[in-house]
Amino acid sequence: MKPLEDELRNALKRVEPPPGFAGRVMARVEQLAEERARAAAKPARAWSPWSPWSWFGRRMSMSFGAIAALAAVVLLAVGLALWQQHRIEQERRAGEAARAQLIEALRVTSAKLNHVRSKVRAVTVDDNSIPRPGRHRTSSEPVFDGTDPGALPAA
Amino acid sequence: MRDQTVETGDAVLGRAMAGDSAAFEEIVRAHQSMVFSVACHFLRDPGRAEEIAQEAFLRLYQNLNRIESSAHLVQWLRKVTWRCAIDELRRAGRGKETPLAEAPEPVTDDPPGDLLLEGRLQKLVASLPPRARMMVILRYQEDLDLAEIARAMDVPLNTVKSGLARAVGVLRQKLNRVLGDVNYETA
Repeated sequence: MKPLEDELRNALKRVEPPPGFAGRVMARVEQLAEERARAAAKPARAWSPWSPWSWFGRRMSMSFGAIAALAAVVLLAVGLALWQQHRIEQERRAGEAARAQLIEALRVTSAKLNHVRSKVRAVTVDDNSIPRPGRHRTSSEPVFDGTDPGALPAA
Repeated sequence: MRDQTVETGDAVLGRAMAGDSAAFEEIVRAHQSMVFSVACHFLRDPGRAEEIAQEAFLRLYQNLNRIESSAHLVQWLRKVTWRCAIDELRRAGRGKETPLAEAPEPVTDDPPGDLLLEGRLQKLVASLPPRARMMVILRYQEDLDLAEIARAMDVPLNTVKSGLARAVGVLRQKLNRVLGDVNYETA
């Protein structure tokens, strides 16, 4: 009995391809060669002074696609820069408006407070001029002298 | 004699590279059996094997300027045939690598005890996963050593060593199972 390796060699021996195989391969090869020859014989695009790409494209060996892609990238970059500038300007304007609003609000608040303070002062002065029966001032109780206790000392 | 053959092969290759289509046809005729057989044993489909073989020779024609010698040409053809065959399997959706032990045994109508051992072995080889199958084909059809198989398949030498040993082991087991009382040993 032959060992397995010999049986495998026997089972896997070479087989011949169907008749005409080489001819079919050569037909495809010739077809391929013709296609190559046609592609090689194809005339290059004629130079034209009117074509915007002619001088640049030829000299730089850049295809139309490459130039279009480059232009698209440049446009995108410019667009992004403009949009960014617009956004910064908008933020600046919004900040300025908020600052103005805050100043106006502080001004109104200050006016109101001044008004209230004058009212309070007037009421306090009137109240102190009326004598109150049964109420004696202690030595520790401050004497109201008509000035605003909360007011800052004059510089 | 061998030197003369190599010289002749190199001379034919030189003429083919210079654009001589008759020389290229000579190359096709010299190697068609090897290329077609590898594809045919791998795919077990003569029609598809012919397509693969034609594709391999077309690629050779397109890359003739990269071939350095007639020996390089043979190596190159083996490599391209393997790649074309595995691509064909993937295209057909049958290239999924299954573990060697899980590879299905071929369904056969041959009665047990059949003497058509060659057919049985071919079916068993065809049931191996693609990579192991190609290793077995290159080893036993082309009589390549392990390093040559590794070069042809672009895999490490140790992968070929282990893969081939496992594939032959599985084939032996399956063949013994199919044939029952026969025990195949390593040579």
